[in-house]
Amino acid sequence: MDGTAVVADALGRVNRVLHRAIEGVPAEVLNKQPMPGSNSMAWLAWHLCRVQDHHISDLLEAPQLWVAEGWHEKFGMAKDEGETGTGHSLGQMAAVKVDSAGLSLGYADAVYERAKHYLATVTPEGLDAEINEPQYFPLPTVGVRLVSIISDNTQHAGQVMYARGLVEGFGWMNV
Amino acid sequence: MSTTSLYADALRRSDADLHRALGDLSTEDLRTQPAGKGSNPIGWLVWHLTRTRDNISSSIVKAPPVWESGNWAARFGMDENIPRFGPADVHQFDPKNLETLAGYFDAVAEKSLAIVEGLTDADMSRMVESTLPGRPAQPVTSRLAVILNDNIQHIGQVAYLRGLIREQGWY
Repeated sequence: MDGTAVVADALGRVNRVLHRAIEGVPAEVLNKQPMPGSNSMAWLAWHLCRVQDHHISDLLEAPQLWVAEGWHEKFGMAKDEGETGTGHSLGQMAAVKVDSAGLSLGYADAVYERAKHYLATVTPEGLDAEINEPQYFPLPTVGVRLVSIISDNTQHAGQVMYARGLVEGFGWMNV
Repeated sequence: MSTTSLYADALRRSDADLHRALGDLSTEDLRTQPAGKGSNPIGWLVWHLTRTRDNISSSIVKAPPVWESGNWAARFGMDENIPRFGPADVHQFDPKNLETLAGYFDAVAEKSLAIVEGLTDADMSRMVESTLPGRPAQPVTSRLAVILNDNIQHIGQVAYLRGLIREQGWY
């Protein structure tokens, strides 16, 4: 297994965790804050997909699926590639709503499918290619960027799981 | 970037997030169930993710876990037996204090990263027995993928809980 396969595997796990946590969950439950001040499952799932879409599109030097496939319309949000949810206030967080788990999972599946296609094109040497972001020193490499997606997305997937436990009652997972 | 350094980098990055989330939390913060009765406290989550990483990484090199070799069982008062904490009794887990809990995590993080970085390409497909009874053996890559996924999810949960017990926007 080379490095890109590790990334694809990790993002595949994120996708499966999301399906396990929210498939079949009613929209009003997904949109609800499990506790005052906490992020909803809908927001968490949306945000992690936005991060994946944003970063993978950057690496591909291609438009984000958010705008290219019209996901922003399905979410009823602005056509803005910069809107990833990072730094959202509670009010902005609460405004991110879905009409069904299918919407959350549809976007999740779309960004994951494209990440897999992208990763299949990256060679082991390609992981060491530098990204032209002079605001960082040293310059980040493709590998470093992919590692940051794994860390961000897996953490948020774990938060969706925790939030599901909060709204569902404990022991829902039945390990 | 080699496969082993990719695993190690992903763990290091998330470990730094865990330290940031733990910050200066009090022992009370570690014990509290901010999401109510039955919910996992930060202390238990950190102990659990560390135990998982300790057991799996040690099993890859057939070494005793740090829990045993570093005398951590005694430090947590669990040298007799290790309770299995469920929703009904997870509040009974005793994290001792941040120093002890983070001490165990740091010891396991250091050893597990050394194990990961010491693996060769040839090691990656070697089969490893599961640490849980009745589960099939898996190649080293799958064991590492489990550590990565399990640990980083729980680290995200710790960060989520910190947001609940401290102010929103701490991040």
